[in-house]
Amino acid sequence: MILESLLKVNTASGSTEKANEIIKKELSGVADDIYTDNLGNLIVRIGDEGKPATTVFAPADKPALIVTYIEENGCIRVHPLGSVDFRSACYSPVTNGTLSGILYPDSAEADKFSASHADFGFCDAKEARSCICEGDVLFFENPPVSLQNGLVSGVGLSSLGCAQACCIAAKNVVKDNNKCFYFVFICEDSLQHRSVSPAAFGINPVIAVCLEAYEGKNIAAKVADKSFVATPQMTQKLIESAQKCQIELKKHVFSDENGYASRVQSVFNGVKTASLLLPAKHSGSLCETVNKSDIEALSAITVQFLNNI
Amino acid sequence: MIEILNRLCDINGVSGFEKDVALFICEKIKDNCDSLYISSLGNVIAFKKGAKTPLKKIMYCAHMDEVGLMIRHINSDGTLLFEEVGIMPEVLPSKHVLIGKNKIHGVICSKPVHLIKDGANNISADDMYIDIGTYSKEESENLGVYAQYATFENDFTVFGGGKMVRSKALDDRVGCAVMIDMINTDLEYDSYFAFTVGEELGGLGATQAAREINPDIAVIFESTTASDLPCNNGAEQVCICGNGPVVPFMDGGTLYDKELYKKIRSLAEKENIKTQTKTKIAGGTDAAYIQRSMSGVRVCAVSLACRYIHTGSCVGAVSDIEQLCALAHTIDKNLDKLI
Repeated sequence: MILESLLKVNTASGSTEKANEIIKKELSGVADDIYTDNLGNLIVRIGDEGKPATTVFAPADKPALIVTYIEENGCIRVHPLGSVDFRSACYSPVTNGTLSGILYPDSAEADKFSASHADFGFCDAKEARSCICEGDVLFFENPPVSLQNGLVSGVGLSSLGCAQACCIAAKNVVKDNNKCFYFVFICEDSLQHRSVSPAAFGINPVIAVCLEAYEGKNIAAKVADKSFVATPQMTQKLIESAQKCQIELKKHVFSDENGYASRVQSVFNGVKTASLLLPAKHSGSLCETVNKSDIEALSAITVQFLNNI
Repeated sequence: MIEILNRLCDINGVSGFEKDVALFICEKIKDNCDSLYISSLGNVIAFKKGAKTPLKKIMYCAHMDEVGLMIRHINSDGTLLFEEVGIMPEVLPSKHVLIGKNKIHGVICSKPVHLIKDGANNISADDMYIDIGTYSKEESENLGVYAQYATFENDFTVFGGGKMVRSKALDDRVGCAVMIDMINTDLEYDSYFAFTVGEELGGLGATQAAREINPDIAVIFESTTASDLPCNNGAEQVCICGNGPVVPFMDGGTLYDKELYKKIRSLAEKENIKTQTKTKIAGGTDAAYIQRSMSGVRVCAVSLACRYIHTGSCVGAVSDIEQLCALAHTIDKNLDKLI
């Protein structure tokens, strides 16, 4: 499964190159074009350019840290890239890609990343600066863990589970001479979904499906959140697609959260947009947990939707 | 450069009232642009041909607006209530302000500290008013102050033995001054320049400028918070006056283009221009709005380390201003290597 490969590489907001390489390799056999846009979103096109576009979006970044300052004693100050629970991150191994360190709280009372530091064992700032600079990304090194009953736990599982579903959808969509399909792997979803609008603008889709994760138990169609109301006909199509796959698809409404679907929906003259939710547990921690069967179900519904829209 | 900066800072241009700044800039650059216009929102958009056409379209950007106040109500005793435009209320008590085009003098007063709930630490604009020396609402109305802007009265000063400047509106007239200097010099590459409005209100002008010009790459000239004060050490200083232009990799609104960040710092080092970066992630610039416009723009920022930003006494180092200008020209000359 591509998920295992994605979980092993270092990928973070603004630094999704390694994830993009894996996805490119996976989809090069089916794509008519694969490119990255100005912000680093990976975009896969299947079908002829210029035809009405149906687009699937999925995040491809994991939470990480960015180096902000190097102390005189060689300790590294960090800032979070994306939302990650501080308590979960403390005492976790981190890496810049070549060296390993540990993230420590400055004190027992520390409750935020500005009161923490990464210790790579450097003796002083000079030694640290020979290996690490301000602006470098530090990735969490927690390896994924396979649990019982198809559950998998690890950093960024909720995002990468959606990315896997998007890949599977791309591999199984049936080409249509009257349509063009785009599959967008978002590079800055964890940072307030910043790169989503430009990706949608560049494609100008007629229809969009946004694969998102939520803290919950069942695959669901998002009806609304604080800034988004799904196009009712699109939600209905998702439900019909799920029925054809013999998968139960519940509806879900978020009263106090903002996903990224609104960023897609509001480009140009508006996009008919639906949102499909992957259930995850322990969201925001370094041990996000999803079920592989849910990822498969997400993929199946998406493929059915694309092939029948 | 300092003289142009002085004149720019002297002009009052709170967000939404940038016209005088725009007209001054147009006057300074009109003879050296290939096209120049003021957009519907008030941006000054200029295009200057260089010796070469770059492979990617470049836009340089700086905002014309400054922080200030808006007069929202006149009390029966003639004093004025106001809304802040980008200013923290803590910096306001006892400041001297000028109101509107007629520059009516006023002083910002507050309730006695012991009458404010939780004391001086909890002061808000609701606890303050502007005294313009009138005694009645009618008298104040006749001066035409309602719905006008108020700015700090400026006193541009070069101090510290010529090493430092003190002024209102260094944020971001210094960026405007750098761009004026670029336009009035021969450029290596064709370039667009956007002097934007409404940055302090949330990138209003920058969004429009990016849509009109549709650049591939944008370089934003800004001022950024320097907290290099005796009470702060290490990362808490954010950036340091005198340590050169600030090239951030990230701020509260933008993750800057990694390649541009590294290349600009490397380029500066080769040209013996000392640069620094921000050691705390905070604040934001027009870059946030430009980056996410259209189908995305690669952005970077080059900033002046500015103490007491968003007050009437911003302080920056003369050497940093000069180096900021030098780096801007270096970016132009080496644009092909950056893209």
